[in-house]
Amino acid sequence: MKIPVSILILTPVALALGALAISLPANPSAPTQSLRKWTQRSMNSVHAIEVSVALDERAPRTAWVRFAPMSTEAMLAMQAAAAPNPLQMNPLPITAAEVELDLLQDAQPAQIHHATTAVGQAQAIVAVPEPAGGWLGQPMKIARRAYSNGLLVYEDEAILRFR
Amino acid sequence: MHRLFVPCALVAGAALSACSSIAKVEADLAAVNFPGVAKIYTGKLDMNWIALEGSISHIDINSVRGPLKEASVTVFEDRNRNGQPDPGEDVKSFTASQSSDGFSLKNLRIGSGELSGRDRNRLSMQFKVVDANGNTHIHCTPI
Repeated sequence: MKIPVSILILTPVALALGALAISLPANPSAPTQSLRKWTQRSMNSVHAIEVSVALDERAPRTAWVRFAPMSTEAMLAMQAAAAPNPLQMNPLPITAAEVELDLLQDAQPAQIHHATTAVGQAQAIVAVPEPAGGWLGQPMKIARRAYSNGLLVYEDEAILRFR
Repeated sequence: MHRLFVPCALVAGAALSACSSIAKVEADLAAVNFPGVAKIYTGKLDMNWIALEGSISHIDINSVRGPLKEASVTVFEDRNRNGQPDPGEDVKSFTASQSSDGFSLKNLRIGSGELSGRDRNRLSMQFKVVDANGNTHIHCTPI
């Protein structure tokens, strides 16, 4: 099999971050949202919520996880995918979100990072600081959840081991 | 090619992009919740970035409220980035079999031959569940 040269010459970190190609301002406490490059969305039809991620390319590498209502375009595409069956969708406003990060080798409890929707905003963005030991090379459990006035409206999770 | 067949977007932030930087990723568990409808659990997931091969030992789609009518998983190339498998974008589809708790799939595999000519940076996975009333519920995630 022919492996693209770019894969061979890029360093692991460059590969990891290159996929996101983020450019952020110097002050990490006040990142300019427009400069973040968000990943492709995960979308769930039940409450019409999408989740995307951006990563600060500098160390420590804070990750941002954005929970937002699905766009009208995305909803229409999803309805088309569901055809001929109807797509049952019950959009609810996101009022809070959290990301749970558990390093499985440190015997410490999981850290849960929270965010709420800002006034006038429909989305919640959770900042997740780079864990001790970095994002690479250690098993971790990550769960993402969004709530609408206390009701769970989005949830996914995974336990990953990198080799 | 560096984001192949790992439902990375099941996980958060840097970890998902980190998937791209190493030769092998294993996921012991991933789960997606369709609140009030069903919950999907994947079993052991192996991804070999170099060989461009991936597998998931099994996927269980468990009903939360009432029986489910059908369930499927589709891997697709999201050329137009609308998050859905449009005509010509399908890479491989898997139809789930009925189980005691809902539906399940076993030994899902995708090899390099099935990805020939595909833009691997646009590969996505769609989980589709149809409930007893015929209503469809969909979760899509980049991989």
